[in-house]
Amino acid sequence: MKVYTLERGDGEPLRYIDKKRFLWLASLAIPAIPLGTFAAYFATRSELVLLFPLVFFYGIVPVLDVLVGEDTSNPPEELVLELSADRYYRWLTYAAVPLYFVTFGAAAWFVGTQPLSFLGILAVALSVGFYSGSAITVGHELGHKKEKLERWLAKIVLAVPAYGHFWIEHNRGHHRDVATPEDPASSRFGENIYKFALREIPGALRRAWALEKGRLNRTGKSAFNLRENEILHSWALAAALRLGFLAAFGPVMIPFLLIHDFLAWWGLTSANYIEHYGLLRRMGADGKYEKPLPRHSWNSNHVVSNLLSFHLERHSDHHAHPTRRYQALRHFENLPTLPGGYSAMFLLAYVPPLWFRIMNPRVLAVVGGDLDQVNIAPDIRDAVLAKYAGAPVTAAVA
Amino acid sequence: MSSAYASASPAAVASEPARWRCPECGWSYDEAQGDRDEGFAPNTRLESFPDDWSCPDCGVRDKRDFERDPEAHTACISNE
Repeated sequence: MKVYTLERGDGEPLRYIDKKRFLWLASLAIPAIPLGTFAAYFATRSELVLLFPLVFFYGIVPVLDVLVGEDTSNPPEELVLELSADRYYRWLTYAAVPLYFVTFGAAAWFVGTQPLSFLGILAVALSVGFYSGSAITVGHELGHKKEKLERWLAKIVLAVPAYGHFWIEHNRGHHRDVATPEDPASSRFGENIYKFALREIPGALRRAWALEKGRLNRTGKSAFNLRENEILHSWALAAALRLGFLAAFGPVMIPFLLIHDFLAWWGLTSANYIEHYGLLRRMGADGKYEKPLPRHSWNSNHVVSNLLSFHLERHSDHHAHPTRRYQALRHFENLPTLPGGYSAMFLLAYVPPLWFRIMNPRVLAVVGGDLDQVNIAPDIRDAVLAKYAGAPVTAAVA
Repeated sequence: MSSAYASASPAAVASEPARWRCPECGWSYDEAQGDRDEGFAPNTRLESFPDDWSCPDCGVRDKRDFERDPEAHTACISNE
Protein backbone atom coordinates (compact mmCIF):
# COMPACT_ATOMS: atom_id res chain seq x y z
CA MET A 1 0.00 0.00 0.00
CA LYS A 2 1.35 3.39 -0.94
CA VAL A 3 2.64 5.49 1.95
CA TYR A 4 2.45 9.26 1.65
CA THR A 5 5.16 10.95 3.67
CA LEU A 6 6.14 14.46 4.56
CA GLU A 7 9.54 15.17 6.06
CA ARG A 8 9.26 17.45 9.04
CA GLY A 9 12.25 19.22 10.49
CA ASP A 10 11.38 18.34 14.07
CA GLY A 11 11.72 14.56 13.97
CA GLU A 12 9.42 11.81 12.68
CA PRO A 13 8.10 12.32 9.15
CA LEU A 14 4.33 12.51 8.77
CA ARG A 15 3.03 9.29 7.21
CA TYR A 16 -0.36 8.42 5.80
CA ILE A 17 -1.80 5.29 4.23
CA ASP A 18 -5.18 5.53 2.52
CA LYS A 19 -6.92 2.39 3.74
CA LYS A 20 -9.61 2.89 1.11
CA ARG A 21 -7.12 3.11 -1.76
CA PHE A 22 -8.05 -0.17 -3.40
CA LEU A 23 -11.63 -0.12 -2.14
CA TRP A 24 -12.24 2.81 -4.50
CA LEU A 25 -12.17 0.19 -7.26
CA ALA A 26 -15.69 -0.58 -6.06
CA SER A 27 -16.83 2.58 -7.85
CA LEU A 28 -16.30 0.65 -11.08
CA ALA A 29 -18.78 -2.00 -9.90
CA ILE A 30 -21.72 0.25 -10.65
CA PRO A 31 -21.34 0.21 -14.44
CA ALA A 32 -20.14 -3.43 -14.32
CA ILE A 33 -23.06 -4.93 -12.38
CA PRO A 34 -25.64 -4.68 -15.20
CA LEU A 35 -23.16 -6.44 -17.50
CA GLY A 36 -23.07 -9.30 -15.01
CA THR A 37 -26.85 -9.58 -15.11
CA PHE A 38 -26.80 -10.02 -18.88
CA ALA A 39 -24.37 -12.93 -18.43
CA ALA A 40 -26.61 -14.32 -15.68
CA TYR A 41 -29.58 -14.12 -18.06
CA PHE A 42 -27.77 -16.25 -20.63
CA ALA A 43 -26.90 -18.78 -17.92
CA THR A 44 -30.39 -18.96 -16.41
CA ARG A 45 -32.76 -17.56 -19.09
CA SER A 46 -34.59 -15.89 -16.23
CA GLU A 47 -35.62 -12.27 -16.72
CA LEU A 48 -35.75 -11.80 -12.97
CA VAL A 49 -31.97 -11.52 -12.80
CA LEU A 50 -32.22 -8.33 -14.86
CA LEU A 51 -33.62 -6.57 -11.81
CA PHE A 52 -30.56 -7.39 -9.72
CA PRO A 53 -28.91 -3.95 -10.17
CA LEU A 54 -31.90 -2.29 -8.48
CA VAL A 55 -31.99 -4.95 -5.77
CA PHE A 56 -28.30 -4.34 -5.18
CA PHE A 57 -28.58 -0.55 -4.93
CA TYR A 58 -31.80 -0.34 -2.92
CA GLY A 59 -31.70 -3.63 -1.03
CA ILE A 60 -28.11 -4.72 -0.50
CA VAL A 61 -26.21 -1.43 -0.27
CA PRO A 62 -28.35 -0.07 2.63
CA VAL A 63 -27.71 -3.30 4.53
CA LEU A 64 -23.99 -3.14 3.77
CA ASP A 65 -23.98 0.49 4.91
CA VAL A 66 -25.40 -0.59 8.25
CA LEU A 67 -23.09 -3.61 8.58
CA VAL A 68 -19.87 -1.88 7.50
CA GLY A 69 -20.78 1.37 9.21
CA GLU A 70 -19.20 4.79 8.98
CA ASP A 71 -15.69 6.12 8.53
CA THR A 72 -14.95 9.59 9.84
CA SER A 73 -11.20 9.56 9.23
CA ASN A 74 -9.51 12.26 7.17
CA PRO A 75 -6.14 12.43 5.45
CA PRO A 76 -3.71 14.81 7.18
CA GLU A 77 -4.05 18.25 5.65
CA GLU A 78 -0.31 18.48 5.01
CA LEU A 79 -0.47 15.48 2.68
CA VAL A 80 -3.56 16.44 0.72
CA LEU A 81 -1.55 17.88 -2.17
CA GLU A 82 0.39 14.63 -2.50
CA LEU A 83 -2.77 12.54 -2.20
CA SER A 84 -4.52 14.70 -4.80
CA ALA A 85 -1.60 14.46 -7.19
CA ASP A 86 -1.60 10.64 -7.06
CA ARG A 87 -2.85 9.76 -10.51
CA TYR A 88 -4.14 6.34 -9.45
CA TYR A 89 -7.31 7.96 -8.13
CA ARG A 90 -8.06 9.88 -11.26
CA TRP A 91 -7.41 6.81 -13.39
CA LEU A 92 -10.37 5.18 -11.70
CA THR A 93 -12.61 8.01 -12.87
CA TYR A 94 -11.10 7.80 -16.34
CA ALA A 95 -11.70 4.02 -16.44
CA ALA A 96 -15.32 4.47 -15.44
CA VAL A 97 -16.03 6.55 -18.56
CA PRO A 98 -15.68 3.81 -21.22
CA LEU A 99 -17.27 1.31 -18.86
CA TYR A 100 -20.50 3.32 -18.79
CA PHE A 101 -20.54 3.36 -22.60
CA VAL A 102 -19.93 -0.39 -22.77
CA THR A 103 -22.78 -1.05 -20.35
CA PHE A 104 -25.14 1.31 -22.17
CA GLY A 105 -24.25 -0.21 -25.56
CA ALA A 106 -24.52 -3.75 -24.23
CA ALA A 107 -27.93 -2.99 -22.77
CA ALA A 108 -29.17 -1.61 -26.10
CA TRP A 109 -27.80 -4.67 -27.89
CA PHE A 110 -29.33 -6.97 -25.29
CA VAL A 111 -32.76 -5.36 -25.56
CA GLY A 112 -32.50 -5.17 -29.34
CA THR A 113 -31.50 -8.77 -29.96
CA GLN A 114 -32.84 -10.97 -27.16
CA PRO A 115 -36.38 -12.39 -27.01
CA LEU A 116 -37.37 -10.44 -23.92
CA SER A 117 -40.90 -9.87 -22.67
CA PHE A 118 -42.07 -6.29 -22.15
CA LEU A 119 -41.31 -6.69 -18.45
CA GLY A 120 -37.81 -7.92 -19.31
CA ILE A 121 -37.19 -4.82 -21.42
CA LEU A 122 -38.60 -2.68 -18.63
CA ALA A 123 -36.26 -4.34 -16.12
CA VAL A 124 -33.20 -3.59 -18.26
CA ALA A 125 -34.30 -0.02 -18.97
CA LEU A 126 -34.96 0.69 -15.29
CA SER A 127 -31.80 -0.99 -14.00
CA VAL A 128 -29.35 0.29 -16.58
CA GLY A 129 -31.05 3.68 -16.66
CA PHE A 130 -30.71 4.16 -12.94
CA TYR A 131 -27.07 3.05 -13.07
CA SER A 132 -26.43 5.42 -15.97
CA GLY A 133 -27.42 8.09 -13.49
CA SER A 134 -24.18 7.23 -11.74
CA ALA A 135 -22.40 8.35 -14.89
CA ILE A 136 -23.46 11.80 -13.68
CA THR A 137 -21.54 11.12 -10.47
CA VAL A 138 -18.44 10.38 -12.55
CA GLY A 139 -19.08 13.42 -14.72
CA HIS A 140 -19.50 15.41 -11.53
CA GLU A 141 -16.10 14.40 -10.18
CA LEU A 142 -14.40 14.99 -13.53
CA GLY A 143 -16.25 18.18 -14.40
CA HIS A 144 -15.14 19.95 -11.22
CA LYS A 145 -11.49 19.61 -12.11
CA LYS A 146 -9.30 22.22 -13.72
CA GLU A 147 -7.62 19.92 -16.22
CA LYS A 148 -8.99 20.03 -19.76
CA LEU A 149 -8.82 16.24 -20.20
CA GLU A 150 -11.03 15.70 -17.17
CA ARG A 151 -13.56 18.28 -18.32
CA TRP A 152 -13.74 16.64 -21.73
CA LEU A 153 -14.24 13.24 -20.15
CA ALA A 154 -17.05 14.77 -18.08
CA LYS A 155 -18.81 16.00 -21.20
CA ILE A 156 -18.30 12.61 -22.86
CA VAL A 157 -19.62 10.47 -20.00
CA LEU A 158 -22.63 12.78 -19.56
CA ALA A 159 -23.77 11.66 -23.02
CA VAL A 160 -24.71 8.28 -21.50
CA PRO A 161 -27.54 9.75 -19.37
CA ALA A 162 -28.18 12.47 -22.02
CA TYR A 163 -27.49 15.13 -19.41
CA GLY A 164 -24.68 17.12 -21.00
CA HIS A 165 -25.84 20.40 -19.51
CA PHE A 166 -25.10 19.07 -16.04
CA TRP A 167 -21.54 20.19 -15.53
CA ILE A 168 -22.24 23.81 -16.46
CA GLU A 169 -25.50 23.88 -14.56
CA HIS A 170 -23.94 22.24 -11.54
CA ASN A 171 -20.57 23.99 -11.37
CA ARG A 172 -21.70 27.49 -12.14
CA GLY A 173 -25.38 27.38 -11.22
CA HIS A 174 -25.99 24.96 -8.37
CA HIS A 175 -22.75 25.77 -6.54
CA ARG A 176 -23.46 29.49 -6.82
CA ASP A 177 -27.13 29.30 -5.77
CA VAL A 178 -27.08 26.27 -3.47
CA ALA A 179 -29.41 26.30 -0.45
CA THR A 180 -31.41 29.29 -1.71
CA PRO A 181 -34.97 29.44 -3.05
CA GLU A 182 -33.47 30.40 -6.43
CA ASP A 183 -31.76 27.02 -6.82
CA PRO A 184 -33.84 24.43 -8.70
CA ALA A 185 -31.39 21.78 -7.48
CA SER A 186 -31.89 22.48 -3.73
CA SER A 187 -35.03 20.92 -2.30
CA ARG A 188 -37.27 22.85 0.06
CA PHE A 189 -38.68 21.95 3.44
CA GLY A 190 -42.06 20.30 2.86
CA GLU A 191 -41.44 19.77 -0.85
CA ASN A 192 -41.76 16.11 -1.80
CA ILE A 193 -39.36 14.57 -4.30
CA TYR A 194 -41.97 14.31 -7.04
CA LYS A 195 -42.78 18.02 -6.91
CA PHE A 196 -39.08 18.72 -6.63
CA ALA A 197 -38.34 16.74 -9.82
CA LEU A 198 -40.83 18.87 -11.75
CA ARG A 199 -39.00 22.02 -10.60
CA GLU A 200 -35.46 20.63 -10.74
CA ILE A 201 -35.29 18.98 -14.17
CA PRO A 202 -36.60 21.90 -16.28
CA GLY A 203 -35.04 24.48 -13.94
CA ALA A 204 -31.59 22.95 -14.32
CA LEU A 205 -31.92 22.92 -18.08
CA ARG A 206 -32.99 26.57 -18.19
CA ARG A 207 -30.18 27.70 -15.89
CA ALA A 208 -27.52 25.74 -17.79
CA TRP A 209 -28.60 27.23 -21.08
CA ALA A 210 -28.75 30.76 -19.65
CA LEU A 211 -25.25 30.42 -18.20
CA GLU A 212 -23.74 29.11 -21.42
CA LYS A 213 -25.64 31.64 -23.51
CA GLY A 214 -24.35 34.42 -21.29
CA ARG A 215 -20.77 33.24 -21.67
CA LEU A 216 -21.02 32.90 -25.45
CA ASN A 217 -22.82 36.20 -25.91
CA ARG A 218 -19.99 37.95 -24.08
CA THR A 219 -17.69 36.69 -26.81
CA GLY A 220 -20.12 37.92 -29.46
CA LYS A 221 -21.10 34.37 -30.41
CA SER A 222 -24.47 32.71 -30.75
CA ALA A 223 -25.65 30.28 -28.09
CA PHE A 224 -26.20 27.78 -30.90
CA ASN A 225 -22.55 27.80 -31.94
CA LEU A 226 -21.88 24.05 -32.07
CA ARG A 227 -18.14 24.52 -31.93
CA GLU A 228 -18.17 26.66 -28.78
CA ASN A 229 -21.29 25.67 -26.85
CA GLU A 230 -20.10 23.11 -24.31
CA ILE A 231 -23.62 21.81 -23.70
CA LEU A 232 -24.14 21.03 -27.37
CA HIS A 233 -20.94 18.97 -27.50
CA SER A 234 -22.33 16.46 -25.05
CA TRP A 235 -25.86 16.58 -26.42
CA ALA A 236 -24.55 15.89 -29.94
CA LEU A 237 -22.77 12.77 -28.71
CA ALA A 238 -25.89 11.70 -26.78
CA ALA A 239 -28.05 12.15 -29.89
CA ALA A 240 -25.58 10.28 -32.12
CA LEU A 241 -25.53 7.35 -29.70
CA ARG A 242 -29.29 7.14 -29.57
CA LEU A 243 -29.77 7.46 -33.33
CA GLY A 244 -27.15 4.75 -33.78
CA PHE A 245 -29.02 2.42 -31.42
CA LEU A 246 -32.28 3.19 -33.22
CA ALA A 247 -30.73 2.41 -36.59
CA ALA A 248 -29.12 -0.79 -35.32
CA PHE A 249 -31.88 -2.23 -33.16
CA GLY A 250 -35.12 -0.66 -34.40
CA PRO A 251 -38.18 0.85 -32.70
CA VAL A 252 -37.79 -1.18 -29.48
CA MET A 253 -35.09 1.38 -28.66
CA ILE A 254 -37.70 4.14 -28.32
CA PRO A 255 -39.32 2.90 -25.07
CA PHE A 256 -35.98 1.54 -23.88
CA LEU A 257 -34.20 4.87 -24.30
CA LEU A 258 -37.06 6.96 -22.93
CA ILE A 259 -37.21 4.89 -19.74
CA HIS A 260 -33.41 4.61 -19.53
CA ASP A 261 -32.87 8.35 -19.80
CA PHE A 262 -35.64 9.23 -17.39
CA LEU A 263 -34.29 6.81 -14.79
CA ALA A 264 -30.79 8.27 -15.19
CA TRP A 265 -32.16 11.75 -14.56
CA TRP A 266 -34.18 10.40 -11.65
CA GLY A 267 -30.95 9.15 -10.07
CA LEU A 268 -29.59 12.70 -10.13
CA THR A 269 -32.89 14.09 -8.87
CA SER A 270 -32.72 11.65 -5.94
CA ALA A 271 -29.23 12.83 -5.01
CA ASN A 272 -30.05 16.52 -5.40
CA TYR A 273 -33.18 16.09 -3.32
CA ILE A 274 -31.39 14.76 -0.28
CA GLU A 275 -28.22 16.86 -0.43
CA HIS A 276 -29.58 20.23 0.73
CA TYR A 277 -33.14 19.50 1.85
CA GLY A 278 -34.61 22.48 3.71
CA LEU A 279 -31.27 24.22 4.33
CA LEU A 280 -31.05 27.96 3.64
CA ARG A 281 -28.26 30.52 3.36
CA ARG A 282 -29.08 33.74 5.16
CA MET A 283 -29.52 36.98 3.24
CA GLY A 284 -27.03 39.68 4.23
CA ALA A 285 -27.72 43.40 4.64
CA ASP A 286 -26.36 43.92 1.12
CA GLY A 287 -29.12 41.75 -0.33
CA LYS A 288 -26.68 38.94 -1.14
CA TYR A 289 -26.79 35.47 0.32
CA GLU A 290 -24.04 34.45 2.71
CA LYS A 291 -21.37 32.17 1.26
CA PRO A 292 -22.25 28.48 1.17
CA LEU A 293 -21.12 27.07 4.51
CA PRO A 294 -20.71 23.50 5.78
CA ARG A 295 -24.12 23.73 7.47
CA HIS A 296 -25.79 24.08 4.06
CA SER A 297 -25.30 20.44 2.95
CA TRP A 298 -26.33 17.06 4.29
CA ASN A 299 -23.58 14.51 4.81
CA SER A 300 -23.04 10.83 5.35
CA ASN A 301 -19.92 8.87 6.21
CA HIS A 302 -21.33 5.45 5.35
CA VAL A 303 -18.43 3.59 3.79
CA VAL A 304 -20.08 1.44 1.15
CA SER A 305 -22.33 4.01 -0.49
CA ASN A 306 -19.49 6.54 -0.38
CA LEU A 307 -17.21 4.11 -2.20
CA LEU A 308 -19.84 3.69 -4.89
CA SER A 309 -20.26 7.44 -5.35
CA PHE A 310 -16.71 8.86 -5.21
CA HIS A 311 -17.24 10.30 -1.72
CA LEU A 312 -20.19 12.40 -2.88
CA GLU A 313 -21.75 11.99 0.54
CA ARG A 314 -19.06 14.15 2.15
CA HIS A 315 -21.01 16.93 0.61
CA SER A 316 -20.21 19.90 2.82
CA ASP A 317 -16.49 19.74 2.08
CA HIS A 318 -17.30 19.34 -1.59
CA HIS A 319 -19.34 22.55 -1.58
CA ALA A 320 -16.72 24.41 0.41
CA HIS A 321 -13.92 23.27 -1.92
CA PRO A 322 -15.50 22.13 -5.19
CA THR A 323 -12.23 21.35 -6.98
CA ARG A 324 -10.94 19.10 -4.16
CA ARG A 325 -10.50 15.52 -5.34
CA TYR A 326 -12.74 12.78 -4.02
CA GLN A 327 -10.01 10.91 -2.15
CA ALA A 328 -9.25 14.07 -0.15
CA LEU A 329 -12.78 15.09 0.90
CA ARG A 330 -13.11 15.45 4.65
CA HIS A 331 -15.48 14.77 7.47
CA PHE A 332 -16.07 17.53 10.01
CA GLU A 333 -17.83 17.40 13.34
CA ASN A 334 -21.30 18.89 13.80
CA LEU A 335 -22.29 18.89 10.14
CA PRO A 336 -25.88 18.27 9.07
CA THR A 337 -25.90 14.48 8.94
CA LEU A 338 -28.20 12.06 7.18
CA PRO A 339 -29.27 9.03 9.18
CA GLY A 340 -28.23 6.69 6.35
CA GLY A 341 -26.20 6.47 3.17
CA TYR A 342 -27.58 7.64 -0.16
CA SER A 343 -29.19 4.30 -1.07
CA ALA A 344 -31.30 4.22 2.08
CA MET A 345 -32.06 7.94 1.91
CA PHE A 346 -33.22 7.70 -1.71
CA LEU A 347 -35.71 5.02 -0.67
CA LEU A 348 -36.88 7.19 2.20
CA ALA A 349 -37.31 10.16 -0.14
CA TYR A 350 -39.61 8.12 -2.38
CA VAL A 351 -42.09 7.85 0.52
CA PRO A 352 -42.69 11.52 1.34
CA PRO A 353 -44.56 11.09 4.66
CA LEU A 354 -41.67 9.00 6.00
CA TRP A 355 -39.10 11.43 4.63
CA PHE A 356 -40.79 14.41 6.27
CA ARG A 357 -41.16 12.53 9.53
CA ILE A 358 -37.48 11.69 9.72
CA MET A 359 -35.88 14.69 8.05
CA ASN A 360 -38.04 17.65 9.11
CA PRO A 361 -36.98 17.38 12.78
CA ARG A 362 -33.36 17.11 11.65
CA VAL A 363 -33.64 20.30 9.61
CA LEU A 364 -35.08 22.12 12.63
CA ALA A 365 -32.30 20.73 14.83
CA VAL A 366 -29.61 21.94 12.42
CA VAL A 367 -30.97 25.49 12.53
CA GLY A 368 -31.78 25.40 16.25
CA GLY A 369 -35.46 25.89 15.48
CA ASP A 370 -34.82 29.17 13.63
CA LEU A 371 -37.28 29.03 10.73
CA ASP A 372 -35.55 32.00 9.09
CA GLN A 373 -32.78 29.56 8.23
CA VAL A 374 -35.10 27.05 6.59
CA ASN A 375 -35.73 26.94 2.85
CA ILE A 376 -39.51 26.44 3.02
CA ALA A 377 -41.68 25.53 0.04
CA PRO A 378 -43.71 28.75 -0.56
CA ASP A 379 -47.06 26.98 -0.99
CA ILE A 380 -46.90 25.60 2.55
CA ARG A 381 -44.92 28.40 4.17
CA ASP A 382 -47.76 29.69 6.37
CA ALA A 383 -48.66 26.19 7.50
CA VAL A 384 -45.03 25.40 8.35
CA LEU A 385 -44.62 28.65 10.29
CA ALA A 386 -47.84 27.97 12.21
CA LYS A 387 -46.83 24.41 12.97
CA TYR A 388 -43.18 24.82 13.91
CA ALA A 389 -42.76 28.36 15.24
CA GLY A 390 -41.67 28.01 18.83
CA ALA A 391 -41.70 24.21 18.64
CA PRO A 392 -39.07 22.46 20.76
CA VAL A 393 -36.06 21.14 18.88
CA THR A 394 -35.84 17.48 19.76
CA ALA A 395 -33.79 15.60 17.18
CA ALA A 396 -30.06 15.24 17.30
CA VAL A 397 -28.14 16.54 14.30
CA ALA A 398 -25.59 13.77 14.11
CA MET B 1 -24.14 41.28 -26.80
CA SER B 2 -20.95 42.63 -25.32
CA SER B 3 -22.24 44.37 -22.23
CA ALA B 4 -19.23 43.28 -20.22
CA TYR B 5 -16.98 45.13 -22.59
CA ALA B 6 -19.03 48.27 -22.53
CA SER B 7 -19.86 48.64 -18.88
CA ALA B 8 -16.39 49.24 -17.45
CA SER B 9 -16.44 52.60 -15.72
CA PRO B 10 -14.16 55.38 -17.02
CA ALA B 11 -12.36 55.47 -13.67
CA ALA B 12 -11.57 51.77 -13.87
CA VAL B 13 -10.40 52.01 -17.44
CA ALA B 14 -8.09 54.83 -16.49
CA SER B 15 -6.31 52.76 -13.84
CA GLU B 16 -3.57 50.23 -14.54
CA PRO B 17 -4.82 46.76 -15.47
CA ALA B 18 -4.51 44.43 -12.48
CA ARG B 19 -4.18 40.72 -11.90
CA TRP B 20 -6.70 38.92 -9.70
CA ARG B 21 -7.06 35.46 -8.27
CA CYS B 22 -9.86 33.41 -6.78
CA PRO B 23 -9.20 32.94 -3.07
CA GLU B 24 -10.78 29.48 -3.15
CA CYS B 25 -9.29 27.73 -6.15
CA GLY B 26 -6.57 30.01 -7.48
CA TRP B 27 -8.15 30.72 -10.88
CA SER B 28 -6.39 33.84 -12.06
CA TYR B 29 -7.43 36.72 -14.25
CA ASP B 30 -5.16 39.23 -15.88
CA GLU B 31 -7.12 42.31 -16.91
CA ALA B 32 -4.55 43.23 -19.54
CA GLN B 33 -5.01 39.91 -21.29
CA GLY B 34 -8.71 39.30 -20.67
CA ASP B 35 -10.03 35.74 -20.89
CA ARG B 36 -11.19 34.30 -24.16
CA ASP B 37 -13.11 31.35 -22.70
CA GLU B 38 -15.03 33.59 -20.34
CA GLY B 39 -15.67 36.15 -23.05
CA PHE B 40 -13.73 39.03 -21.51
CA ALA B 41 -11.72 41.06 -24.02
CA PRO B 42 -8.26 42.39 -23.14
CA ASN B 43 -8.48 45.31 -20.71
CA THR B 44 -11.85 44.21 -19.31
CA ARG B 45 -11.82 45.15 -15.64
CA LEU B 46 -12.88 42.62 -13.03
CA GLU B 47 -15.35 45.12 -11.60
CA SER B 48 -17.19 45.22 -14.88
CA PHE B 49 -17.91 41.47 -14.81
CA PRO B 50 -21.63 40.63 -14.52
CA ASP B 51 -22.87 40.54 -10.92
CA ASP B 52 -24.02 36.94 -11.28
CA TRP B 53 -20.70 35.78 -12.72
CA SER B 54 -18.90 33.22 -10.59
CA CYS B 55 -15.41 31.76 -10.74
CA PRO B 56 -15.31 29.41 -13.74
CA ASP B 57 -13.29 26.77 -11.88
CA CYS B 58 -14.88 26.51 -8.44
CA GLY B 59 -18.15 28.41 -8.92
CA VAL B 60 -18.29 29.48 -5.27
CA ARG B 61 -16.53 32.84 -5.38
CA ASP B 62 -17.54 35.93 -7.35
CA LYS B 63 -15.82 39.15 -8.33
CA ARG B 64 -16.31 40.70 -4.88
CA ASP B 65 -14.22 37.94 -3.36
CA PHE B 66 -11.29 38.06 -5.75
CA GLU B 67 -7.91 39.13 -4.40
CA ARG B 68 -5.22 41.19 -6.09
CA ASP B 69 -2.56 38.85 -7.39
CA PRO B 70 0.83 40.48 -7.72
CA GLU B 71 2.40 37.30 -9.07
CA ALA B 72 2.01 36.36 -12.72
CA HIS B 73 0.98 32.77 -12.35
CA THR B 74 -1.75 30.82 -14.03
CA ALA B 75 -2.20 27.70 -11.97
CA CYS B 76 -2.68 26.98 -8.31
CA ILE B 77 -4.22 23.91 -6.79
CA SER B 78 -4.05 24.96 -3.18
CA ASN B 79 -7.57 23.83 -2.43
CA GLU B 80 -7.73 20.67 -4.48
